[in-house]
Amino acid sequence: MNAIDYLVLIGVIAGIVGYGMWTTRRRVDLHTYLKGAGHTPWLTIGLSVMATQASAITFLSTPGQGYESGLGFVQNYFGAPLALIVISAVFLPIYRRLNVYTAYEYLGRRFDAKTRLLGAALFLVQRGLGAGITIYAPAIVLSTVMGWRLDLTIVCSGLLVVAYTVSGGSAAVNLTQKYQIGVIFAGMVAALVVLLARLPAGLGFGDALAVAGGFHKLEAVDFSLDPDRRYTIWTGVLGGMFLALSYFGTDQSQVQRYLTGSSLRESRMGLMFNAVFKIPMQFFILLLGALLFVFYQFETPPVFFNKAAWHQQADGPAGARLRGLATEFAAAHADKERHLQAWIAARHAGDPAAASTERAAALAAHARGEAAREATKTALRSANPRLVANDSDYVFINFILDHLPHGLIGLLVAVFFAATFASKAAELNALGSTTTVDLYRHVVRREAGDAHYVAASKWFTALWGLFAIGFALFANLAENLIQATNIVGSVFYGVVLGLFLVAFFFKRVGGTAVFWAAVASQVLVFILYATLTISYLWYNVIGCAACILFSFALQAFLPANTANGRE
Amino acid sequence: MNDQPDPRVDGDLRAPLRNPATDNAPGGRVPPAEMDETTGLPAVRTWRGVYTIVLGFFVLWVGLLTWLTFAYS
Repeated sequence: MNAIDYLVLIGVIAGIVGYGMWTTRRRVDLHTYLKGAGHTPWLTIGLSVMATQASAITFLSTPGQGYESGLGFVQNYFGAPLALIVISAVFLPIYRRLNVYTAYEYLGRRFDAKTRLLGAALFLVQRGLGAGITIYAPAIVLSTVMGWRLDLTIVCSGLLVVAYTVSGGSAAVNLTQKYQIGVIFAGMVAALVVLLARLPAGLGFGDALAVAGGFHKLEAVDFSLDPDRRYTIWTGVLGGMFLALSYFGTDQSQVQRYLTGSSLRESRMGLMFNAVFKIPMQFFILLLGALLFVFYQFETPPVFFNKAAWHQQADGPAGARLRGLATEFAAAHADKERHLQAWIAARHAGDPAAASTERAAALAAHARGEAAREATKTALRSANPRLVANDSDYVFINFILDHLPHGLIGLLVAVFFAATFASKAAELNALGSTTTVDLYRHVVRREAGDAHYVAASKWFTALWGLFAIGFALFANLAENLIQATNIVGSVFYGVVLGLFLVAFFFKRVGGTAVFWAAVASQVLVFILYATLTISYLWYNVIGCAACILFSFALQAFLPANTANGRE
Repeated sequence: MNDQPDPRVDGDLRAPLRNPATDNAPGGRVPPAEMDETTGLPAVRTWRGVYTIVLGFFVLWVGLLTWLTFAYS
């Protein structure tokens, strides 16, 4: 990065944050602080919901996922449109009719105080951990490739987002998210345009797709019934729907976004905007990763994309082995490139037999290169057992730094920070709101003025921000970052969704039954997660189903509930 | 722990925080009219219609992705 890049980066970040803080500086009452001014239009809600979910991890890690494993991850989002329709038709009207500040208030009205507290606590635990990952994930990648200090990157970016979230509350979050998502889209489209322009001469878009398809990177839909496969159409539609139902319908960081709507219509339209555009957006980001794979077939990539980690070990005792593997990888890559050129030529010449032969040879060379890459990862891990050997999160940032023009590099790095801020702000806003409304106002101090609760909300938001920064400073993740976020969510979301589904649809079940059912279900999910190897998306279904079934079973032994239907 | 209504929850219902958006509505609730509001869209007047269109998009995306999978496998 040069001076122009830093100028663009600082200008974009300071502009958005400053504008958000300035515009929302006079929010004083609790309603406005937690829900905004109540006149948010549907497009702002839609973009805000989108920005909340799409953190920096989405834009940093997902292209790497596309590069490494192809488009299959898009199936993770197949359940989202279905879930958003259910939320729009069922959840949202109830939240608006009851005029709640948090989703967990509804549990208190439908059941009792302990169930409300349980729902809020489950949210606070998983979202508190999630907030740490949200801030850690981009910081580790950016600090590694930029040579910045990790702790400073975490602390500076964390404090900046805490400052404007505390200052402006929900309105500041919504307002800044609108501009942040604009910067994100502009940056990602610019990256795609440059990527396509840098493909070899004579390699059209159709050829690029053929190359990606030839290496199984365009397998977007998998109809396999194998439960151990992480992403199939079944895990996506079923598990993904439960995950999305829970995330969009009961996670306060999302609920708070669409409760700011000026009317039920605006909130619903915001959700439907996401229902239509969520899948194509994720597809676009994954396709970018698949095209990055194609780009790197004609441009020698590093043997390990976390180049800083590789160089660190290459200077040590493992250096000779690592350099030998790098040479092996480069030779296999050169061989592959030669066969790919021949394959493309055969395709253009309409010679399927030659095309098939050359493709097979390219795949064989690719396998040799991948073997060298795997051996490199093993050697790196032997040299440094603490090293995260998954380098897919570094693919996109390497492309940006090595192949994008200056100015655009600054814009893309600004994209990652904008995305971090957008999702982080929503999380902190929700954590602060839930702590204030569901714990502090509900349990600790029941009678106080708006000014007191606004001040409390600001303090709690700041404290959660500091907790997330602290967590990020000590985090060390082995999974691909986007998957780590979804795994943490899936372990908790199913049970929370079960609580809400019982509340919405099963009026016979009372507070005590659903409370203990949720506790037992959460324990069950922890045990299963520790012992099984099934796709993590299934835990959304298991947790939810267990909570509902246990509720019915327990209710059969308890007296009929008199508090039901109190909304 | 029991299923009886929590008195503190009752307190919540009796004395909700001031909310300028709904304070004029009976019981501090959103007016029922809002629940019946139409989509405001020129061609699709019911929410059922909106959901059908969204489902149509869902089927379209999955169909296109399935085609992509088989066309380039």
